[in-house]
Amino acid sequence: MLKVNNIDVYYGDVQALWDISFEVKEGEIVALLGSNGAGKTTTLNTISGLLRPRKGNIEFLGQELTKLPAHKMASLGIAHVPEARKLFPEMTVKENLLMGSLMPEAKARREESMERVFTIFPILKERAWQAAGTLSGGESQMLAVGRGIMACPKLMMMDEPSLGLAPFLVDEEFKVIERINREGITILLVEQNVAHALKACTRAYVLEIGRITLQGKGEKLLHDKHIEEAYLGI
Amino acid sequence: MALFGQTIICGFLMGGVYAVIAIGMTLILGVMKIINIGHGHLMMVAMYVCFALFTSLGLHPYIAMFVAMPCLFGIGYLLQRYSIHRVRFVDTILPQTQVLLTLAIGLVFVEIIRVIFKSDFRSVYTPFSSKCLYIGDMSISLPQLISFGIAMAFVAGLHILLTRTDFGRSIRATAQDLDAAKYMGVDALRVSSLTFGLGMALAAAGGALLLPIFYLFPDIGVPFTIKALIITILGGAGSTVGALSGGLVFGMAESLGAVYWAPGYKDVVGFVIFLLVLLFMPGGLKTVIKR
Amino acid sequence: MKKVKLGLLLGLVVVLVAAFALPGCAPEVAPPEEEEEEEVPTGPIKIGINFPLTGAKANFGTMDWLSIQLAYAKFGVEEVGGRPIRFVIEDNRGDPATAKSAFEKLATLDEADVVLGGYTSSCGVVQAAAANDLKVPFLICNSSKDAITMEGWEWVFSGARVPASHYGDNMWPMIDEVLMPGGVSKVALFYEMTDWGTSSAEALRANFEARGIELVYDEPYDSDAIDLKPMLAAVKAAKPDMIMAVSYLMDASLIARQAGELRLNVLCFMGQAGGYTMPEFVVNAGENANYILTTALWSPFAPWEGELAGVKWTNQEYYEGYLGSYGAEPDYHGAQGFAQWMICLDALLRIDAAGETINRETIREALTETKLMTTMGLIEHKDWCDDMGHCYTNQGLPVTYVTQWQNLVQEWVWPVEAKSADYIFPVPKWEER
Ligand SMILES: Nc1ncnc2c1ncn2[C@@H]1O[C@H](COP(=O)(O)OP(=O)(O)O)[C@@H](O)[C@H]1O
Ligand SMILES: [Mg+2]
Repeated sequence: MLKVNNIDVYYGDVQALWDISFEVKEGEIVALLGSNGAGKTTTLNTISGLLRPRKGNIEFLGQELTKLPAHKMASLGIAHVPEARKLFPEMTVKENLLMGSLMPEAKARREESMERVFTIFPILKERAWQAAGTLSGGESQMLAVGRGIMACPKLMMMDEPSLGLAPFLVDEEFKVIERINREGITILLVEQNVAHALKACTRAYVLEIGRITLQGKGEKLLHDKHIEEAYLGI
Repeated sequence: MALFGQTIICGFLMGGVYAVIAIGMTLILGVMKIINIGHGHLMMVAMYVCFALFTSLGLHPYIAMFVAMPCLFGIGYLLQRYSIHRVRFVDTILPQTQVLLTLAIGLVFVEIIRVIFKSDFRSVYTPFSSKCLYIGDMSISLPQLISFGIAMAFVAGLHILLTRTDFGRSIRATAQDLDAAKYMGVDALRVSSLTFGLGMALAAAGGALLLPIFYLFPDIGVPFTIKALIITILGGAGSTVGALSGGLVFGMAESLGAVYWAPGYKDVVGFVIFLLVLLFMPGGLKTVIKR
Repeated sequence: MKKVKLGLLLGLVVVLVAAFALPGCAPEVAPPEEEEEEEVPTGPIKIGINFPLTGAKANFGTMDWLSIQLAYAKFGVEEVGGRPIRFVIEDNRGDPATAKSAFEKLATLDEADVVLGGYTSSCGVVQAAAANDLKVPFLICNSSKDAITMEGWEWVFSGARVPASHYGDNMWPMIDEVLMPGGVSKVALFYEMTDWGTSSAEALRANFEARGIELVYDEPYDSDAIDLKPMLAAVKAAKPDMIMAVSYLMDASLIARQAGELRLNVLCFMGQAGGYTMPEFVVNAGENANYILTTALWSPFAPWEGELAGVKWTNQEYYEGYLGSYGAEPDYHGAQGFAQWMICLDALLRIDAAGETINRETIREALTETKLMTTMGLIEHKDWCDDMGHCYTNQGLPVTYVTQWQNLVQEWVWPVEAKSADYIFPVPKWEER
């Protein structure tokens, strides 16, 4: 479904990614793991078109992405649930959700999607008329994911959805991710919470200082020596 | 008592028209994060469009505004798309290149208008211009009342556009978080160009509403840019409710200042408000008036 | 990409520079070569022209210049003493800094023998100061601020120009003989906050007080104000018998309209020249202009006539000539411009007739002896003091008038000898019109 082929990405003259390649297949949950500053967000922003690779290319459903402007990605079926949520703080919860469904296909199914979001996150229905800027951290994250669901995407990219959440909320969050996936959305998950992510994912890639150093099935990596030492603290 | 009532009426009616002019600026500031120094100058262009339609076809500004608004919308759209936007990411020695560019564009328009219409003062005076309603000893100018009504209709229309339509929400979203708006599939260049156009169309409406009660010459824009800026700061950037309340407060302050302080210091009233707001209420009225 | 950026930046700079500076900067040409001091100059007699010809203040600067050209054509003198007359034109855009540099250029680079100019007071002041420093005779046309001829500047000649505090000189007899006996005892005075407005108000205030008339309202106002109704409402609340207003054109029109809207009823509304006398006033104020009295510096009906350079002329002829040539009515600004060329030409002819060389010094001397009938009446350059203690140098004192708008036409009503219609006083109430 999504193929990233040998991309190099720079911020100005500073290189952030070196020869990154990975693949996400339909129906999978693929995790992109790595510590802070490894280049995970950079990778997602490059797929979203906010950054351009200097080398390499990206394909989505056979279409070349690297030449398209950022706002076209949504219409191809890619939803980006960004790091730090990036909600529209002065708009209501409902308006934020509506903003998720601007593309014609998603717009046609707006009511239905809204119901779906409200069944997954009942609290959002209660908060529908509240400004997004006034939500708690957990609620904000739910709204960010809900906004992604509203797009009826084929692929949802989630950037550290568990960041800053209380432990019980993190469990909830991963349940939701698995649920969304079961309902038919392919997921590219970026996480620092390696243990949780490896349990939830089909396959995973490990990013270190801009390079992919490990890849494999989630279960298998969970028992990898290097992972245990570097990320799981065993 | 009649004096106080008259003062309030004058300030209120004027404030409504100020609000329409300022709302265009606040919209542009909200979405593009630039102060459009050419705002008043482009409003002046719209006034000349109305003036020309009045002298050639006899169209009253209330009708001519529906020609002037699309004209200014087009000018605004093209300016943003092909000129202001282009310098966005250019690094130059000058800070705020875009702001300076709006100033330069405004001045170019002033000179163009001067070539066409000369520096002469113009006005659209019809016997209707002086019609008034009287309540006791107080008078309400009919054209001002109509201008106020139309102004409020535009403010309400804009408010509905911004809160009830996808396009309007996209404008607000772009203002609040540009990158997130792009993730949602918003074409930011298109939205900012349309917003600039919309802002200019509203300035055009404000100009057209002023024409029956005021006069016109090529340099008329500057004080209006300043007023719009003060109202924008007073109301809070990007907020229709803020611009409306800011406009009314500003109109009222000018009017009260002229009667109970000194008519020579209207501008000082404005600048005092400007300073006080910056110092004590930096978010503007919109932070006070929460929905 | 770099190129594009540079291009954009350059473009921006050019536009900005063009918008702000271009009109002001005369090219820096090398200083004139040192010529040997000639006893008798043979080149043309150079007349510097320094008015706002473009920009926001261009209307009246242009009227001055057109009137000067009309006078030049009318008297047909193209050379004096074998030397052709040549005009050197500098547009100062109404900007004092530009006016000053333009004057310096005329005085040094162009070596003008005499300069005509001055429309706004702020330009007139710097031009007059420059004239005195550089010792170039300067005929100042309109700039009305009193102080311009109170500095003892002997190179500045202000025969046809009236100091602001004397704009209303002929209004006082009318106030004494007509308005006060008719019941005027309380006056509201308001004036635009400019040099002209405040110096006018100073004189008006003193004169009202000297007559025991109470000033129930006395405020400057901001002439750019969009809504003057709050001020007028305050005026109304002060219940004056008479309004005395010093305003420019568009604020005058707004005031007339808005006074009508507020039904601000008084026995009479008197404007101090400025906006209230202009033809555009009635266009912009409509029927609200009716019954407004105003002091005026000039009347097309004034019976002035004479002969200069063998050509007979009349005041009315100037009015018709201007209307015919330019399709617009002239006002006092133009009449002052016309008169200034008459004064200038008269001085040149007298120097030549006396067999002397025409240069700055002889022109200055000739101007001190001017005694000439013009479109502004009989003009002499004299040194004198008024009862406010203002002492003027080379200052004439043209006759002033009072006019009244009647049925949308400006009628001259005072002095009675120069009237075109009878005055209407007290004026009808707004609701009865
Ligand atoms: N806007 C930026 N400008 C310059 N460098 C950046 C920028 N954003 C991130 N970087 C750098 O790129 C590297 C990768 O950052 P990021 O992709 O945000 O890491 P992660 O999301 O894995 O924590 C880091 O070294 C970071 O400092
Ligand atoms: Mg990150």
